[in-house]
Parts: sequence; structure tokens; C-alpha cells
Amino acid sequence: MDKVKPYLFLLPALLFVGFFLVYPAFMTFSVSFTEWNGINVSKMVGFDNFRFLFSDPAFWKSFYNTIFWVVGSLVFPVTLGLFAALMLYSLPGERLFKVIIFMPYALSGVVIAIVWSYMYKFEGAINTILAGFIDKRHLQPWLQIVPINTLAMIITYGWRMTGTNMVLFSVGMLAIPDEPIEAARIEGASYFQILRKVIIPMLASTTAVVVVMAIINSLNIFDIIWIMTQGGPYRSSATLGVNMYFESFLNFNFGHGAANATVLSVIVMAASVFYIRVIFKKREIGS
Amino acid sequence: MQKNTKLGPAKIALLLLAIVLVAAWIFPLWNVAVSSTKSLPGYANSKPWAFARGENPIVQFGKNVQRAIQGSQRGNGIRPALFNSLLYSVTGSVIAIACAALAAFSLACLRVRGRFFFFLLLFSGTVFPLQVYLIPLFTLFQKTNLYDTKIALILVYIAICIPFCVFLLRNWFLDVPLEIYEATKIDGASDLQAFRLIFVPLSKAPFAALFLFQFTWIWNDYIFGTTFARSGTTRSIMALLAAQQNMYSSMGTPAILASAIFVSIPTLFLVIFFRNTFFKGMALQFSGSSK
Repeated sequence: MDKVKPYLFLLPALLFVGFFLVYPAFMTFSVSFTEWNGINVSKMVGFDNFRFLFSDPAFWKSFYNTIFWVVGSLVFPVTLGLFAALMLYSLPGERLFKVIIFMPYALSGVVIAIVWSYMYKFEGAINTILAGFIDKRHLQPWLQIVPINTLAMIITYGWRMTGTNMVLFSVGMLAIPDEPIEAARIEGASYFQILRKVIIPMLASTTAVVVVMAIINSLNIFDIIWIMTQGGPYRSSATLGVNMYFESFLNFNFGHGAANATVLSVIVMAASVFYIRVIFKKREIGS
Repeated sequence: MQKNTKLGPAKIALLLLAIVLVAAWIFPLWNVAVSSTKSLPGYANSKPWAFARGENPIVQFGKNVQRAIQGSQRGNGIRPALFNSLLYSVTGSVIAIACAALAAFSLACLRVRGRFFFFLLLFSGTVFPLQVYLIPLFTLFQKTNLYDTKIALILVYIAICIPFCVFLLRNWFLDVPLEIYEATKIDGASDLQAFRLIFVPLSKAPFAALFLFQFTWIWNDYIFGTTFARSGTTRSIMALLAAQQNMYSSMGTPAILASAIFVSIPTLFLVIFFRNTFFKGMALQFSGSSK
């Protein structure tokens, strides 16, 4: 009995996760080898769905867009998050500034998408400002212009994620001991030298977590794009996640959708290997 | 890292930069707030960030909120969705935290064979894209007549919240000295008693943080809410907002924006008033010594 008891503690969590997450994940993998619309009996088709996918321009478009998103969300919210954490550290009003930058965390993807859709509209706030600087003929409905629409949505996403990254970096900065910074200051190092030689290297493990989380989150991006452009115009701004939803729940081609989800999962899993390494390495250091 | 609060010229320059950054962050929210206080013609004839001339913003805001609550057509009103999302967010996060706490206790303190495997199995739920769950769950719910029911959504929300809770609580429990657990065993307490009387009271901080995280996550979820529910009686708040936005020609921009503000009030309230719990919760991701 004593041998079984620890497993009883695990049981509720394992049942929920096993039944609603792990099992469906495996099912999706097997559906990707079938032709199925969700109603008729499914038919095994081997690798046909993957063959279709890899010859489909819409898939490749969404694949490149996904890469664009990953790079964009590393360049913008991660860098700006680090910058904000460094800048606001011990600044008067630090707390107020941080709460404001963190605030978009409270908002849903749908709300954020709506807020920014109206910013980018032809008669929206962005164009109203731009009209003061450039000729009105150059103004566009930005969400319909490829590839500016993806860039515009990455900015939206950055507005949401910068605060989260800033908080994570701030947490890491609090754990940096005073002595090396004090020592460097006594040696006559300037602020930027201390930043480059002491602070940034000591933030390395925090940075690793933030970067890998940013990669995984941007691979999984869905709601902002779905509300702002629906992946359009002509599926030009879709990512893999959006493309999957499009194939599955608009075209009701579950085989294509599942194959798409499988490809996305493989990519996410590759990134997760780094993630798991990073968080467990961090734990060994014991910070 | 020491805090240096002396105000020099460099600090003042940074302060100005910070004000610019924060202003840029507020700007979109300001536009939305102001736009939701205009009538439809007032919105069309004024700059996005300025109030409309000749209108009472408070009265117009009230009208827009009223319109948002009623919806533009039958079954499009906010009220049922508000209660649904409240139900999903509270039950989903509370049950998930309870299940996760039991599991994390077992993984961290009881010497379970294969504990790392079980941990990875549970943890895998935090990394997979949500899209990977949609098709099988959608067809499963249709087959079992659970599609478009509250039960289906509650079950899915519990499941999706467990992995992160397990991760965080395992970290937390690993930091509790093993001697405390051993002492309770010597005193003759069962594992369940040790869990209930020692570990649960010790874990108020991560429980509070996790509740805030998961409540916010479920409240803000869109993809599950829109895939597994369709009718007005089960729809979650964000799925409803997306539907209102889709039909914006009949609802009108200021009313949609009022709706977007209205549905964000609960989570905004949590983030602003419990900001320190959120921040501390994020720090917990990094805690835990190796064992």
C-alpha cells in the first residue's frame, strides 16, 4: 500500500493531463496521416498530407512568417524588456513605470488585437500622427500591406510582452550580488563598462530563460493575428499556428490541419529541449 | 544588486527617457479609453486621442457600455459570457492548483519511482502549441455530446493549467527543507496529513500567485473558448468580444471599444492591485534548489 500512495497523489493531475493533453497530442499526430473532415470515417493516406503541405505555397508563407515572428519577438520585446529593466532600476517612480509597462499582461490577445487594429486603420491614430510628417498619399491601411502587417503585429505583440520580460530581467538583477559591481566601481569602471562586463554576464541564465520562452511563445502565437488580419490578405500574414486553424476549422480538412500542427510541434519541441536544459541548469546553480 | 537612488544628470536623462517610454505604452490605451466616450458621429469627426466636441464623455461612455452589455443582436449580450468566464476562471484555476499541489508534493517529497518521467509528462503541457490539442478534443466532445457545454471547457481549462502549476509548486516544495517532512513522519503523521497541515499552509504565496496567473490566463483565453463553444449560453467572454468585433458594422466602433475595456476590468484590477504577487510569482519560476 505504501508503494501505491505516492502515485495516488499524482493521479488527479496525471488523469487530467493525460486525457486532455497528452492523448490528444498523440491523436493529432495520427490524424496527420489520414484524410478526415471530422464527420466521415477517416482514411489512411500515409504521408500525403505532409506532401501536400510541403508543396503548398500558403504553408511556406506561414513558415517564413513564423520565422519572422520569432526573430521579431527576440529583437523587440526581449531587448526592450532588458533595456527597460536596466533603465528603470532604482529610478524614482520605478514601481509606477513598471506597472504601466507590465499592464498589457492583464489584457487578452483579443482586446490587444482590437486596440491595435484601430490604431493601424486608415483613419486611425498612427496615420493621424504620420499625416503631420509625411505626404498623405503615402498613408496606407497598414494591416493590409504585406509585409508591413506582420511587422505591425509584431510591434503589437512587443507592446504586450515587453513588460513580462522586463519583470523577469528585474528579478534576475535583484539576485546580482553587490561586491563585483562595487569592486569594478572602485577600480574606476564607467557605468557602461560595469554593464557590459559585470551585469550582462551575470544575467546570462535569466537571459537564457527569457530568450527561450520568447521563442516558444512566438512560435505559438495565434489570437493577435487571428483577430487583426485572420492571416490575410490572402493568407499572407498567417503563421503556422494560424494556418493550422485555418485548415482545420475553416476548411475542415483535419488531415492537413493535424499535419500542420505536427510540424509546428516538432519545431516547438526542438526549442523546448533548450528550455528544459536551461531551467534545469539554472536550478543546479541554485540561484 | 544595490540600488542607487541619487539623482544626477544621468539619472534625470534616464527619467525623461522613461517618461517617453511609458507615454508610448499608455498611448494606445488612452486612445481606446477616449474613443469609448464618443458617439459614432463624434468618433468619425474627431482625432483618435481627443474627446469629441459638444458631447458629454461620461454620458456617451454610459451609452456605449450599455450597448456593449446588450449586444447588437440576440444572444450577443455580455452578461452570460461574463458569468461563464467567471465560472471557468475560478473553477479551472482552483481545481488545477489543487491537483497540481498534490502531484508536486508527490514529485518533490515522496520518493516516487520514475518521478522525473512523470514530471516531464506533466510539464510537457507548458510547451506544446495549443493547436495540437484542438482537433482530437473537438471531435471527442462532439462524440460525447460535450461540445458546446460548460463542463467541456472547465475540464480543458483545468488540464491546461495543471502543467505550469506543477512546475512552480515542485520548485517551491523542493525548497522546503526535507527535515520538516521527515519530522512529521516521525510524529506519526500520514503523507496526506503532512501535506495538509504543513505544506499547504507553507504555500500561500505560490498558491496566490498561481491563482492570479491562471485566472488571468483562462479569462483571456480565446482559442479554446472559440473552438469548443458556440452558443451564447456557454461562450466565454473573449470569444464573445471577438464575435462583437466581427459584426462591428452593426455595433459601432465606440461600443466595441467600450466592450473591450469592460471585459478587461477584472484582470486589470488584479494586475494593478496584486502587482507584487504577480512579480513575486514570476520570480518563483527561478527558485528551487536541485535535489
